[in-house]
Amino acid sequence: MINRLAASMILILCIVLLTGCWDRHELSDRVFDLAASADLRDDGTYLTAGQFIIPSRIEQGASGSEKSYYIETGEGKSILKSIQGVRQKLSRTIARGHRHNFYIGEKLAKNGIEDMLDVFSRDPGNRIRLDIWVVKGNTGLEALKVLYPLEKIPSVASNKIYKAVGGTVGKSYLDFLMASSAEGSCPTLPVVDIVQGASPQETIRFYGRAIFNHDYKLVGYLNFVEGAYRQWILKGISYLEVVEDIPEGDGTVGVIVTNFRSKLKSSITSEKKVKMDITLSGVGLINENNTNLDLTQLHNWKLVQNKINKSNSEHVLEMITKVQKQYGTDVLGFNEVLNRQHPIKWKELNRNWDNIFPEIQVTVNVHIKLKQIGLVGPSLQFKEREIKK
Amino acid sequence: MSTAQNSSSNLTDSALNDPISKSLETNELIIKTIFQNCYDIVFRRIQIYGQINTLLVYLDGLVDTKALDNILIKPWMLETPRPGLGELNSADLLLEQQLVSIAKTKTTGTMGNIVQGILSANVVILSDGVDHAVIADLKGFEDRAIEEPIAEITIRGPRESFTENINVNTSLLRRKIQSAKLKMESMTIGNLSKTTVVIAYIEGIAKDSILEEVRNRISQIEIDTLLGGNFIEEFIEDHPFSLFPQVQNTERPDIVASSLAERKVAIFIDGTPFVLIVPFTFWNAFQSADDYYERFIYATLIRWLRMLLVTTSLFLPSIFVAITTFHPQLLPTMFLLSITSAREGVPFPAVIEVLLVEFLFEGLREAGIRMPKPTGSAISIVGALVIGQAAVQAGIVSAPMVIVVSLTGIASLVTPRYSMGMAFRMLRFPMLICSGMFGLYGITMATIFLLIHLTNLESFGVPFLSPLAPLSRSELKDVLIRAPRWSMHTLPLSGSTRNKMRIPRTNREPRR
Repeated sequence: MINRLAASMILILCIVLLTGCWDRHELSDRVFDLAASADLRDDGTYLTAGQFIIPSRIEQGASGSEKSYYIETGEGKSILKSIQGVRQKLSRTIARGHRHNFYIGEKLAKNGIEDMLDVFSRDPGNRIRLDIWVVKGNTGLEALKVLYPLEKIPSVASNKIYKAVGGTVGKSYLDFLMASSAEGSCPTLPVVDIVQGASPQETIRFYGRAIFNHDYKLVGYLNFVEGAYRQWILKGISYLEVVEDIPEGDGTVGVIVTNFRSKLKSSITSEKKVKMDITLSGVGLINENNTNLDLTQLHNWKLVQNKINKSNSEHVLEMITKVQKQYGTDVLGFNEVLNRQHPIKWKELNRNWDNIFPEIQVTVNVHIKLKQIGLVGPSLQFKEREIKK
Repeated sequence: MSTAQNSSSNLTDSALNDPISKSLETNELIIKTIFQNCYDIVFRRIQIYGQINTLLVYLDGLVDTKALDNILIKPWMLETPRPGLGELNSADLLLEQQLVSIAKTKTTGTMGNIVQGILSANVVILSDGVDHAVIADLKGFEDRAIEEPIAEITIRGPRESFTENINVNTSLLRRKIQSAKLKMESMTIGNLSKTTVVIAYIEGIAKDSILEEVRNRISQIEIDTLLGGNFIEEFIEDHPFSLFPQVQNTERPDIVASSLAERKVAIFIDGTPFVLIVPFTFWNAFQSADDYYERFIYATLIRWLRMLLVTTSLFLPSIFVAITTFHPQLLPTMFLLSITSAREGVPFPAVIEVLLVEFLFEGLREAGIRMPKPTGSAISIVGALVIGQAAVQAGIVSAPMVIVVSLTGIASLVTPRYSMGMAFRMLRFPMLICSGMFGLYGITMATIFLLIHLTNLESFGVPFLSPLAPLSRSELKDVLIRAPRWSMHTLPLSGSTRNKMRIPRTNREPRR
C-alpha cells in the first residue's frame, strides 16, 4: 500500500516536472521593451534597437529631466544577430510580452521585410497584438528617439494617436500576416512620420498606410484620408472628418462621419470582366459651415448632402484608381469579396488576380446621411441679408 | 503510597455495585470511604421532626444551599409534622412523596447511583432503616448567562447563543422547535468526565442513515475526559487527515434548529457552548445565518461576494507570484510597470517575499487571538507600523506585496464557518509554493489535486461537494444562490425520504 502510494506520488511528480518548462524570471531580472525598431544600414546589415524601461524611474512623481527609458542598439547581418548585439549590453533578459510598437525604417521596408517577419512569428514571447509601423522617410531608430511630451514612455504615443483618430489598434501585425497568406491580397502596415512640431522638438505623426507587394516590399503610401477611405471599405474605422467645397455657397462644409457601413457587390460580365460596386454609408454631423447657406432649410441641407456624397465618391474612386493603376496591389479586400460572392469563378480568377485587379471597373457610391447640423442653422457671423435661404 | 491508593480505589470500585444497607451508619461509612480526601463533600445529619434520622450528602458549591436550607432543612427541623402524615419511621415512600418538596427526584437502591448523583450536583437523602436513597435535584452552581454569539454574528438574526450548560442549550433549541417530534437522546461519555452528550434530531425528517451512523459512531467513543466539541468531532469524522472540516460547529440555536429541519443531526455536549451538526458539506461554509434573515436578492449577492473572496484568499498571493515571475505579459502594461518599479531593489524573489509577509501576518493574527487583552493596542501598533510602513520603506518587501497579503488576510476572514476558513488559510501555502515553482501551471495542478480531494471527501455518507457534485437539481436553491423562502419546497439531502416536501408547492405565487 505504502509502495503503491509512493509510486503514484512519484508518477504524479513526473507529470508535473517533466513538462520541461522553467521560465521563472523575477521582475528584477527582466527588462521590458515597450517599443523596438529595425533598420537596414548602408552596408546591408541590420540595426535593431529597443526602448527599454528603467523601472526605478517609473515611480510616481519621478518625472522631470530623467527619462524613464533608454535606447540600446545592436547590429548584425541578420535580425537575430543584431538582437544578440543588444543583449550583450543588457544586464537582464528581454521580455517582449509588452511590446506594442515596432518601427521599421523606410529603407528596410523598401528592401523587403520577409526575414524580419519570421523572427516575429517564431518567438512565442512575442505579442500577437503588435502594431508594426513604417517610418516614412526616416529610420526606425529615429522614431524611437522622438521625445513625445504627452506620454511618459513616448513609444506608446503612435499607438494612442492611431486609436484617437479612429483606427483599430493592435491588429496590424496580425492583419499583415493574414493578408500575406490570403490568395490575391497584399499586406499593408500603418505609417508614422517624424515632423517638426510646434514645440522646438520633433514629434511623431500618424501618416497613413503603407502598401506592400507580394514580396513584402514597400511600394507606396496612402495618406491619412486615403487610408481612412480604405479602412471605410474594410470596416475598420470609427471616426473621420471630411471637408468638401460647396460652390453654391461660396465655401466649405466640414462633416464628422460616424457609424460607418460598407457594402461591396461584385459581378462578372460575360467577357470575364470584373465589376465592383462599392456603397459606403455613414452618419454625418456637420461641424463646420463656411458657406452662407442656412442649413435649417431642407433644400440647402439636401444640396450639401448631395454635394458631399458626390465629391466623396470621387475621392474614394481616385484612391482606388491609385491603388489599382499605380501600385497594382489588392489591399482593398476585393479578392475576398469575389471569393465569397463567386466562389466557383474565383478558382479561375485567383491565378491571374494580379493582372485582373488593375482592370476591375469600380463604381463608388457614398451615402453620408447628415443627421445633425449643430446648434445653429446659418453661421452666426453673417448678416441677415447675406444668408441664402 | 501508591499501593495504598490502589487498594483503596479497588475497595471503592467494589463498593459501587453494592446495594444500600438499611443502616445509616454503614452507608455513611461507605460514602465517606469513596469520597476520601474530597474536601468539598458535605455530610449533614439531621432528624426530621425529631424522629427520622436522615443524612444529606452533597458537594459543596454544586448545590443551591440557600434552597436546601429553606426547602428541606428549615421545615424539617423547625416545624411540626403536618397532620395525616402517617407513621414516620416505617414508610420509605413517604420520604420521597411527602417530605421532599423538590420537583425532580428519583430513588435508587445502589451505591453507584448515589455516587453519580452526588457528582452530578444532586442532594442525596438517606434515612435510617430505609434501603433506598432519594436523589433530589438542587443544582445551584454558577453559570454563564445567555449572551450574544461571538463567532457567528448576524445583523437581523436572534442574538442568543449557547452556554456551557447543556440543559440551557437543549431548552434553547426546544424553544425554537416546539414539537414532540424533536427528539433528544442522551448518553454519557468519558470514563472520568462522565459528560452528558445529547443527540438531537427531528423524527421523520432526519435522515435515518445519518442518524444511525451518528448513534453508532458516538457510542463507540472511548475517552477519559470529554471537554469540548472537537473531542467528539475527531472521533466521528470520516477523513481525520483532511484539511477540510466535515462536522459543523455552531454557537447559534437558530442554526441548529434550521439544520435539524434540513434533515441533519445535532450533537450537544455538556460544558461547551458549541453544538456539532452533521453532515457538513462544502457549500455550508458559505451559508451565513444572515443569508436567511435578509432579503434573498441581497443574500445571494453577498453569498457571491463571499465565494469570490474565499477564492481570492486561496489564490491571490499565488496568482500574483505566478504572473509576476512567469507570465508578466498577462498584466496591463502600465500596471506591470508600477509593480516592476515597486519591486525594484527588493532583495528577495517574489515567492520568498510573499512567504515572509504571510508569515508575519499569520503571526500577528495568532498573537491577536492569544494575547492578553491589555496588550492589544501594542500588537496593532507594531503590526501596522512595522509591517505596513517600515518594511516597505526599508525596501525589504514591496508595497504591492503588502497590499496582496492584507487583501488575502481580509478575504480569509469572510467565511461564516471559521473552521473552513482555516482550511483555506492553510492551503494558501502549498498553493504558493506550487506557483512559485511552476507558475500558473503549478496553480492549475494544485487546484486539480484539491478538487480531486474535495470530490473524494464525504461527511456521514453525504458527498462533500453535493449537491453540485454529484448534481442534484432540486437542492440547488440554497447553494450558489439563496432562492426565496417560498420557493424552497423540498427538503435537502433527499433520496429515500418519507416526507420530501418541506412546504406546499402552491404556498405563494409571486404577487402581480
